[in-house]
Amino acid sequence: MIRLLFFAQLAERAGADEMSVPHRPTPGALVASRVDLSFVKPAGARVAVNRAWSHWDAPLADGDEVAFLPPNTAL
Amino acid sequence: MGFLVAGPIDVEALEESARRTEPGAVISFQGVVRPDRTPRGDVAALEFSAYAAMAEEEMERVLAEVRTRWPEAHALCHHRLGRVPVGETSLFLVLSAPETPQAFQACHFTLEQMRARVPIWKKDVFTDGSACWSASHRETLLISDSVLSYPPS
Repeated sequence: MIRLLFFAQLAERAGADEMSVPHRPTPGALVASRVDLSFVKPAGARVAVNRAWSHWDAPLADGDEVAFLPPNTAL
Repeated sequence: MGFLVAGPIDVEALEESARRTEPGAVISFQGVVRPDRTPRGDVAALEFSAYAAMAEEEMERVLAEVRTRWPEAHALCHHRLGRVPVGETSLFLVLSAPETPQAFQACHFTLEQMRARVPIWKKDVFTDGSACWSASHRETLLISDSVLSYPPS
């Protein structure tokens, strides 16, 4: 399984802060496989894997933590 | 204490800590919540949230890069989470170094890297209690404008 995390407006769109989903080979494949994640890329999200910036084609291992992050706005 | 803090930032204590390195230059930066007036309403506060575990790790990576680039510089930085009322400091960064150019360059580098890499978001909270996610920068820089243009491009 992959643990998904959503933050800020993406959490509101997802209706949850986190969810667990079956393993897929990359974050891009993961969002492409689920209708309920179709908002992620159009919202301009960036992706982090295991608390480090990553990319949509990065390989995923079972148990990874994938976070979808809207653009930073704090500074 | 970590990078992210829940309550007010003790600016004086951090500046005093920076001075213990006996620097020739100390630059401090504060992001302060500004009382913006918007079509939606008057801003009363900003509410900050973060991917806290990653923000702490990413900020440590930024500070490690600062130490590699400017080995004699010393940086301390805190960012508040939760609701921060207008007029209060949400971000404090203090850079100390033996020489002025090092301190300015390290300060500029740290702020730019934070802006790009550390996952923190804010909501505008209006005087009527409503709120919306902010897409713009609503903090005032309480430092010389020269910091953001230093070194000259």
